[in-house]
Amino acid sequence: MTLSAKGTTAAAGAPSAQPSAQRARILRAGFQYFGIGAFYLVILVAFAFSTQHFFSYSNALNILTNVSVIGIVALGQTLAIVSGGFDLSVSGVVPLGAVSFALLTNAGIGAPLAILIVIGIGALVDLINGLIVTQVGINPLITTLGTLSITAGLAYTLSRGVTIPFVDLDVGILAERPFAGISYYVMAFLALAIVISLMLRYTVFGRMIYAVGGNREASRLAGIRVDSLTILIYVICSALAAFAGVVVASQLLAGAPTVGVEAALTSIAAVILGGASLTGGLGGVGGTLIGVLVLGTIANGMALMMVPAFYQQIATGLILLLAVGFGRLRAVFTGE
Amino acid sequence: MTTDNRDAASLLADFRHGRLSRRELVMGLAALGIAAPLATGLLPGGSARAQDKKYFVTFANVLESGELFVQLGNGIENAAKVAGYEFKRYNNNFDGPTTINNARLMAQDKPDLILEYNGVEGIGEALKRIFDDAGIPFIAINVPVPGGIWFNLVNREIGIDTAKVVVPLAQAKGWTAADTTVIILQASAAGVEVNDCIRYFYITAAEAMGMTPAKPEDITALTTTIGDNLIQVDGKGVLDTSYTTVKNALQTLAEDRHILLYSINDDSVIGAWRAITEAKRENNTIVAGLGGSVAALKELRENPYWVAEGSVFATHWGQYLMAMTAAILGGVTPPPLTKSPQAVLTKETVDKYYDASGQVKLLPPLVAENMYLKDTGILQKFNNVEGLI
Repeated sequence: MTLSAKGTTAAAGAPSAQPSAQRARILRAGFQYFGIGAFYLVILVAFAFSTQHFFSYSNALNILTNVSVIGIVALGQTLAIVSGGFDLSVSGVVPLGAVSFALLTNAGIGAPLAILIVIGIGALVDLINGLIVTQVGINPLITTLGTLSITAGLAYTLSRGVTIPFVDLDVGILAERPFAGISYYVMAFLALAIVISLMLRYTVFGRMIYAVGGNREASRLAGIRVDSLTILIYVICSALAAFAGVVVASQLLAGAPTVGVEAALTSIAAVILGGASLTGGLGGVGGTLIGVLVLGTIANGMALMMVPAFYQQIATGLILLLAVGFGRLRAVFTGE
Repeated sequence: MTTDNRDAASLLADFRHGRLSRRELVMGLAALGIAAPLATGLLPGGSARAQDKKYFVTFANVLESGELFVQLGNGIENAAKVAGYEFKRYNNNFDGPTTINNARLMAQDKPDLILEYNGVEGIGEALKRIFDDAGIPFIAINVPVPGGIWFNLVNREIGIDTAKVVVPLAQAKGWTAADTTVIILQASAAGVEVNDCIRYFYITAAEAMGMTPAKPEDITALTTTIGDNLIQVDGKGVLDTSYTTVKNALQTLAEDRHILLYSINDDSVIGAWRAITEAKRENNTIVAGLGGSVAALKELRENPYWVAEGSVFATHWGQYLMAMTAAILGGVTPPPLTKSPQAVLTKETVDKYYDASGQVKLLPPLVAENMYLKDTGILQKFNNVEGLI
């Protein structure tokens, strides 16, 4: 496989035989993970000293619970962004998934089958996205914005705009906590993170994602079926968003068309915080996880400190800008 | 009387020749002191009784998506049919330019009266100018428009009435200001009026239970706590954010602390309640909802901790608006605010107003200020208002 220089060096997670490339990769990884990791540690220490309620097992679980939904969406978004695209339609797929799950289970369909159907619905949405982006050639921004509107509208239509409580509360099985207060959906989130991380780092498919994100044309010339890969990435992204919809419905024991509407922007923010680049070829699950945790921990810590919601929004925005600035610094130091 | 009639006749002639708008005609007749039945009898197209008039009414809905707004719009359209009025409907789409454009289109329609549900508060003056230029009277629904006759719920009163239900139940359990915290969920972006319900809920509860007192201006969008007695979070009126914010807030409260939970709408309360049950703190909580949604009514009926539910019967606003239309065009000057029907339901009263499927079966009696609606005879056509059946 022959890739352009950009395509090769941009693959942050892909190993290289060249010493200089290896050095650049380590430096980049250092900035990417340790930088945001150190930043996260600073946040943890600051909140631990600022509010007595922060540093406890129950609050740690609380943070994990709170970030699970957006975390699952962000895993899919990581794939999309690393490959050089992004997916706004997740903001419609999450509520569509939540509403569909509530409707299906209320109609008597068992939770496992309902979950599979919902994931299938999500996959179908981004199959359409992928086909439009690759075959029609419409920009991902416009395409996924369009499907965002359609899926959000579908969620409202199916639910008639109201919250649909579960008739049988047992279908919210994902919210049960079988071990140490940790719910099944938190476990599912962590398991998915591990699987996708391994896939990105150690499989040909994962390396192709970095390659396509690094240089789409070079990847095509190298024999990668770029269009098929792009469609598959969108399908995975949307399937994960639909599953996140199931998770949020399980959390709330109800489906509603208003849930998850900020999923797109928050997940993109988390992925970028984690060191990914909107131009593609950079990023990884580790960074995304830390990005998600940073956003969730800041929201939690400021809530415990009783900081008004408006200030929380400002702080989150400032942190995102800081992270982007940090990314520019990284580019200077690594010569990208 | 003869002189009056001759003047009225000349007013009517001017109206028929387009030299006078309907509103000017009505105001002129009212200035002459002519009784409403006579005035309505002078208007073309029907008998002397307001309920038998066939008016043309246009309505711009704030938004035609989301069940609440769609049902509200459908309710108004259906009420127009029952009242026998010609009706045309527009969608403001929660958007300023669309609202202004619709206002111009409605003015072109030359209806007898316009029902304006505008969601963009700052464009009121522009709307007023369009309607005034066209000489068409209008009713502003929910959001006030200068010069318009205002129809709205009163969030302040719902908050006060809900607290009056909740507090005695808390006191009966032996809860006091020393061991109780009120958690209220605001929707900061919705503005002051919408959040009045939660502010006045706390103010009333605080006064009754001896909690840290507060004035309305003490509880703003930026307020997060008042002593140990109030925690305000921003649930944004949606399920998932309410769940998350209350989960966080519970971390700061001792396990044995009692909680009075209330929010600006049912979705928000349901999300918050889920956080309470997940934390296994329902035994220490009393909850009240607002909205009268099917899910919340089910909770009120079945959940022992859910003790009150505020309802504004929005799906039935249409019949009140048709009665207002008849009254205004009949020469009546309404009060500055005509209150929508509203009631705080309890476990004892819920079945009186709602059936098991969550459909309204009875509306509360007219408040004193709204008695002018009774005289139009319109509400009686619907046969569902307590005291008018």
